Amino acid sequence: MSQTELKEVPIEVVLEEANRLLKMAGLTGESRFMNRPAVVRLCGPPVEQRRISDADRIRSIAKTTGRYPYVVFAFKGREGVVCVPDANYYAADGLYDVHIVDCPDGAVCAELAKYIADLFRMPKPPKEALLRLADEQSLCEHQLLPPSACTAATAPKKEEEEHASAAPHDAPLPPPPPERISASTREFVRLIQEMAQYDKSAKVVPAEPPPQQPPDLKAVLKEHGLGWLLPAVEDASTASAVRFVLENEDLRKALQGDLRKVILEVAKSGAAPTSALDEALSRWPPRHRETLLKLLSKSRDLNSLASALLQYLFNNEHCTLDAVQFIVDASRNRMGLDCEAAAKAAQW
Amino acid sequence: MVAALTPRRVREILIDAAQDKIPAPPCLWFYIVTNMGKNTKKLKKLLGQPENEEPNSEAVIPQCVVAEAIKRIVLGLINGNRSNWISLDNVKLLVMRYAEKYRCSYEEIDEKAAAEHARILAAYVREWVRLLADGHRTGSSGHMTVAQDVLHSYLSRTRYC
Repeated sequence: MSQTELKEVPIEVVLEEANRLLKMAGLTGESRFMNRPAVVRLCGPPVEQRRISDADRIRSIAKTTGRYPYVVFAFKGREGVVCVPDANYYAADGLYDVHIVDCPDGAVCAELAKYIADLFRMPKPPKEALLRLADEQSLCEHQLLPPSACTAATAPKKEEEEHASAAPHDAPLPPPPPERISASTREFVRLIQEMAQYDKSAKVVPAEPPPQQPPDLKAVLKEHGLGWLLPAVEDASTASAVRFVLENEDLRKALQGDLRKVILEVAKSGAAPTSALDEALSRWPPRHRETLLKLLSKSRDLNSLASALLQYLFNNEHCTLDAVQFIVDASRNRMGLDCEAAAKAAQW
Repeated sequence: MVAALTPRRVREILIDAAQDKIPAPPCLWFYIVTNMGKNTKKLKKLLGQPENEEPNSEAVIPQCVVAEAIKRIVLGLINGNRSNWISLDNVKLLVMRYAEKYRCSYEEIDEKAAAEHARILAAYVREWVRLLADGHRTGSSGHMTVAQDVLHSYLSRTRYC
């Protein structure tokens, strides 16, 4: 076999690969050196008509590399030997490195003959050669022959079968056989379904929500213009009351307005200008106005009103007038206190 | 009976698998190779879709998934720590070796399908070898042989979808 084209891959590598393929297929054989007439005798008459004569190039390779220019794989089948390459390509006299392979299964050998020819970049053995190894049907089954050759071979058989089955002319046509679904197709669809389930479940089950960070209530208060309430938000119950205020837009607006001044004034001095209170009440949200009027009717004076109002706003029994006043005083000294602590402190 | 999965949904699942968004068993890549292209009709039937539902639609198995499949098959066969050359001449043999290695289910008809599709897959393989083989150290494009570690490194970095 000419290796003139194999400038890039050493012949040892290609040979190793070919032997590996043979080993993988479980084929055994022997390797021996033969002269040209012996190889021709082994391989039989050439099958192909074409001839490639590159004897000069092969000689120069043998001279410069010291390698044998020819490697032949001889597959021994039941009805003869198929050589790769075909005897037509034996152009020069000399020693041939012949690998003789015994073929219990002709179709496997035919397949390997094609692979090895491809590996050595030589023409693949033709149909006539492959028929020495296996019959046409098994070659077709292994897809070693072109589809056109296979359909031509099987067509007459099919026709015969059709004629045989069509003997009773009046009989209804049998239903077409169900389309065969191969194992890999079944498995493929099964896997797709499994993956679809996985995908679906992954989408249905939401990821665990990140733990909610408690909002920085002080920052929220400042943002909403209610920074003056900061001393009263130290404990959780007051904070929830303040959040209630924040969530009620109209209430929040009222607390941002004049009522704030009134409450703070009451908390500070115990009294507030009546005009200011009237004005503040006029701006009180309508839905809270009724409650406020109730508180007003129950209150003895403005101080008790302010105290009740704070309790209503903050929903905290400790947020009395005294406590709020203490908080306001403490806030001046930059001390943060909640209503409960402030109430205790105010009692001292 | 197989639940109705639209070809579009199957494509999405396959692309997700190729992008490692959902875990895929190794045999999936072999089944992609055996079922690519002409088995679309059968797949559509199995998926509960009428064959003419999307007359001009693309195949159930997208092209990028096919490329990813042959990439993963070759990656599954080579050893990234070895620098000796591997022959990629016979793509069908590679595919079947992969199926044997991972014990994928197949019949003779699937083997034939793999042989038919090997020509298409060989185009990808040729491209890798053309890029990687320098003829001396890492491999040869003449016979589609390439150093395993070089190929492993390249394929690990390549994404088709």
